[in-house]
Amino acid sequence: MPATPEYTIGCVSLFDAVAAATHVSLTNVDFPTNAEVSDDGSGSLYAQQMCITGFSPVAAMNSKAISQILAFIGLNGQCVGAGLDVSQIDVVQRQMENCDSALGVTPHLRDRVTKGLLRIGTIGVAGREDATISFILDTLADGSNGPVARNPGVAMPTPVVSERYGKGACKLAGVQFPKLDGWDLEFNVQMDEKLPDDASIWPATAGVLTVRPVLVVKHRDLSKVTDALLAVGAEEAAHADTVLQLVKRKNAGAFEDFGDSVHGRITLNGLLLPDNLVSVAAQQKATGTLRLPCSFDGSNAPVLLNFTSPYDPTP
Amino acid sequence: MKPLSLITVDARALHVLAAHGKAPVVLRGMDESERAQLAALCDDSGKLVAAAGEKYRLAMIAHYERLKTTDEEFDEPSPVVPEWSAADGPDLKRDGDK
Repeated sequence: MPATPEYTIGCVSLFDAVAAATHVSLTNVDFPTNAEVSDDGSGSLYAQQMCITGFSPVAAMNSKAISQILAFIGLNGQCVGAGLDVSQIDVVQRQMENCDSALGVTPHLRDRVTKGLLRIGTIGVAGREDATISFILDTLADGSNGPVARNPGVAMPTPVVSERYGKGACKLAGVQFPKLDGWDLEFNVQMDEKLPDDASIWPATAGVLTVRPVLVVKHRDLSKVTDALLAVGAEEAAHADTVLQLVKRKNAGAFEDFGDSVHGRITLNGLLLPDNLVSVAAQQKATGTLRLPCSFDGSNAPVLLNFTSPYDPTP
Repeated sequence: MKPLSLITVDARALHVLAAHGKAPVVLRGMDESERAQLAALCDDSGKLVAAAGEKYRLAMIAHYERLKTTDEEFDEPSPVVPEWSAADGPDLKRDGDK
């Protein structure tokens, strides 16, 4: 019986405007086709026709290599295609070697997308875990080919870049919040409806309609939410006084030098609200939740993402 | 607020891109004059200059026009053309295609 090839997660390759590729490690991939089929809608016992009416693959991916992903996707999303700053994306699955047969030279599987739209989903970190970023690739047809081209005979790209970041000190509306439980920054990048060209099942184009980032912070020092804040219900937060930090971990060490410009610094503008004053059960530590919906300050985008920053223990 | 370390042209240009929701990858496709044009849109403290939004928009239009022209100048096939063949798997043709 011939061996059945089996695959595991590989990497994503992002090609810039001059087709130079960066290969980034992933922790999760989900690539549904969103195929839509419908029958003829008749009153017959059995459907007499079954047609495919839509085919719109969307790749949802997660990675710990946050700076690598953010190098290619900005807050407002990033179009992928010829003549653009990101020209192509490959999602590669690695074939596993098994006891039936040794791997050949090009055993891996590649899904290539030459037109699409990249969006950031969420950046989040909790406790001592590594921070992660989720991002989405909406695939589009380029006018003649389908949105995804699959090739089951490719070599594994090298080198695949791996990065890890841990939770750093942060400041919200001018107040330092040490030892947070964690935070999630949901970018909420909404797209317009993807529609196909006439006589096609593939979406032809897409664009970003709105970007409404929201930060949710879980903290333990309940006293940080003061009576003064509760009296007004919300506090203005600006880029100058609202900072999240991610500390880059060092391979074969703990952290990169704090003075090196390799750490993550995210500043936000918006309105800081106490979302949950206290949440606690017996034999547990109490936590509170803060929410910060972000807005435009008239000059800068609501969230500024900088992963070439030194780390500041007292931001 | 601590001053941003916006020393180099590229660091300034990156800050301007971030302020407009764009990723650093945009800088890779820019030539020196385009980078300098972006960098001029913020001062030493990282604050955007007056009418930076409109100037940014015009700079990006010029950048993408140049990228398009550069792409057309090459006779060789673009590396982004998909390698579509029967070996790639099911060929999902459009309705009506044979």
